[in-house]
Amino acid sequence: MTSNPMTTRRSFLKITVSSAGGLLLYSALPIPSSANRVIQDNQTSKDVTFRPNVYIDISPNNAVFFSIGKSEMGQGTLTGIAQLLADELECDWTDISIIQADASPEFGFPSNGFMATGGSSGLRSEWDRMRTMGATARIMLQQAAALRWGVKLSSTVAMLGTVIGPDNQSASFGHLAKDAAMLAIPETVELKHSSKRTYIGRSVKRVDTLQKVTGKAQFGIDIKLPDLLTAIVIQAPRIGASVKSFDAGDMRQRNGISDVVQISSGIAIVGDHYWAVHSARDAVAIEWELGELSTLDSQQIKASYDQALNTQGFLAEQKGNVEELPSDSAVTLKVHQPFLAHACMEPMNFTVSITSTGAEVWGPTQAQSAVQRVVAAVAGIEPKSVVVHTTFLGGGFGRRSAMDFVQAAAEISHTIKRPVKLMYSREDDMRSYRYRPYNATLATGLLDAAGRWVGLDVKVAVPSVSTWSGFGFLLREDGLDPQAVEGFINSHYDIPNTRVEWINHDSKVPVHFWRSVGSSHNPFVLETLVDKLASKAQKDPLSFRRALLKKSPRHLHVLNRLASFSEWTTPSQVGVGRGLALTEAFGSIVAEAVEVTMNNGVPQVQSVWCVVDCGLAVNPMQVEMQMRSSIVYGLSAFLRGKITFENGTVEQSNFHDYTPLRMNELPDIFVEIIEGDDKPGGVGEPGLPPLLPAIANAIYALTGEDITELPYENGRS
Amino acid sequence: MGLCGACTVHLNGNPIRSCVMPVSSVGDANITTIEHVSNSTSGNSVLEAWQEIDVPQCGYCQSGQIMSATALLSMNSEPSIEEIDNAMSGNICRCGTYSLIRTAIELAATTTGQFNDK
Repeated sequence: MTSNPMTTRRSFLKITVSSAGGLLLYSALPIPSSANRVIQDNQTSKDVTFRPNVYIDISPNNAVFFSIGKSEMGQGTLTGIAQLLADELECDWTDISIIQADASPEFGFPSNGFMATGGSSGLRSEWDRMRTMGATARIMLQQAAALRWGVKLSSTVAMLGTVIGPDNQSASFGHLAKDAAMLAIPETVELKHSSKRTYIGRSVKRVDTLQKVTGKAQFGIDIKLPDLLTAIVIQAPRIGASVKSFDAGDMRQRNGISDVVQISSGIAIVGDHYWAVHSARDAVAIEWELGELSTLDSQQIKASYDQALNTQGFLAEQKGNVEELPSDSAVTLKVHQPFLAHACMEPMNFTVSITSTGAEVWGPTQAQSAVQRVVAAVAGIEPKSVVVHTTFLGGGFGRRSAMDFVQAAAEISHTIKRPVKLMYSREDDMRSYRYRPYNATLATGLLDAAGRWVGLDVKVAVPSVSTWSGFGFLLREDGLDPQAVEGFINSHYDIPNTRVEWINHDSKVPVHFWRSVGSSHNPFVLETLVDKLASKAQKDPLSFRRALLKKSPRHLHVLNRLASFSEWTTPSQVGVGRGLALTEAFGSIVAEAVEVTMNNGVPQVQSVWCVVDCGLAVNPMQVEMQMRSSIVYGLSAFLRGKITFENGTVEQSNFHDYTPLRMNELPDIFVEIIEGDDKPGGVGEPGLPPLLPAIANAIYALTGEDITELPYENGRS
Repeated sequence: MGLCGACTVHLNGNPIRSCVMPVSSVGDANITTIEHVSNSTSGNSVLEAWQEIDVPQCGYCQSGQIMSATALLSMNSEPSIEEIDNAMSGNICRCGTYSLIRTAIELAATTTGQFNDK
């Protein structure tokens, strides 16, 4: 998979518009998508005849239903997983509908049955199972045909929803479904050779586009049920405060309001619709009991992280002996990176119905198994009996695997004994914590007399985000949270002496997985350190890195491809700074180069080149879109992303003071996908880690400025 | 309020942010929402292009993007990149579909609208 017409150099917009051929590369594939639909009410086809496993249903009229348990937050997982199933099944893409599966262990990770979407792991974790399930169904259909025709199984072939026999007999999957359903399910099946793939590796159009352009897509916020009430929760304006008392006055008699109840996270106002409850916020008198964090401010946080760097932590990696190296040729950086909000377009919301007979819930969640546990605990029932329906997610980025909004909705429903949809306003959402952790890192790189990088000494102060996120099972046996040191340990750079220490410093502000997690901050430090070491060694950033990648051929290849793709070695124009960075995260290697100009002290990113080795690109178009998505998300963070505290209160509240990138700030972005392993690596997150350091390195190259604090506005000297 | 553009609908064909438009000020003006944007030629072209280019990711901002794009093309059938940016920069996309939105608008400007929503 090499570069595609959509991203050929600067004139790509003109090419794609004026030359229809450029656009049509993706759409010329003979796989129209307009018939595909995503079904969320889990009404399995009443017509189902052949269901060899919970993932595949085939009906007599040839309709194929794929039940998929991954949460669709824009990353294209429903499309990608459907490609895995369809490729081995050999059905016709136009016959497919997707059923968004309710929570059940079969839709959890194959390794442990835990149902969740995150870590760029959807295709990676389902690669074997989905293809096996598709192949199993196909073999059984072929067997049914072989029996019907009295021929050998090996003389039949399946393609585009039809089985064909040796004498041109043919039967559609629909016609064979009833017979196939009577056969024994084979225990093992052989998967296709990669050269025979039909859907995997092609830029098939997304299965959810039609719904999303016609306003028919159902997000959590859209859920409608009979007798459904709507609720908002007034949460403590200062972090850590709790309700001491409240007086709802005559609110319960107000038009549109049905109840005002206290739950563990604050005071819930329940009523007929959002406007009724939202406009009643100020009418409840609440007395808050202040907690120990009530005067928290960002100066304190910064100071405490500075102090933390002077303490001892958890030794995560030690190679050679960094302490014995001469330190006369060293670069030390101390870098502070801020809390970041996810700022999904769809604010957090969840719909819960707890009754005397059980619990049924609906909403945009990334962690269905956790939802079951949380709701079950409130309702006093078994987790497995909580029915969880997943809607589309209006953005996820990790935020929707948190349980705050699920817990609150469950408590409200349980208290008032009615189904309720809890909605956060944008302000509630922005101030609901669960941020990317604030972190501080002290990193020293040591060169030898010949200017080779021989030592890396890192102390990173950051809380255990895996524990906070409810994913404590990700911790290593010895207690290390791999996310705290990701990007520093097991480096692809050949550094003979390393020491990486994790200081589990926790400001007690709730934190959560944020797009690329530990790789959202650690590679920023490492890759900016690399450029300063290169500068000290009087080498350019490209050759300095090349020399360190002799034992990492895949990484070297990605870097070299980036160099030619971005024409790195041609002189840049006056006033244009260039920077690059190379990172690996979630199973994929990405290198990015950036060109930046400075306008009155404000950096303008003009162009970004991205080369990704994600192993096997199941859907190259969607891989490219995830790289673009990560670049835009990361650029917002670099320029303006920060959540700050003043007197215990989060200072940001909406898009006017937590301002994401808008269209008029978009740089030119060019993406190239290169082939690696014959299995997929992650794609949703890996494009983000190299972007921020590449920009910082470009600014460093242009102005000599060290950026040791983000967002950029804080780092201006 | 009025900060992200996702709520964009048309009032007499003009793009407005419905979240800050009181119902009382609508009077008897025509309101068009995403469900009926295909009724106009420009809307049809936009929807066709959006499908052709496969623009959406999470999709939450897309109704508003489509409404803004349709309003732009109904008033300016061949917008420049600057004009596209000006018209569209009120619509935030956290998934970063901006490059495809631009391409889709440029494509829509060249087609006559044959959207098929079967």
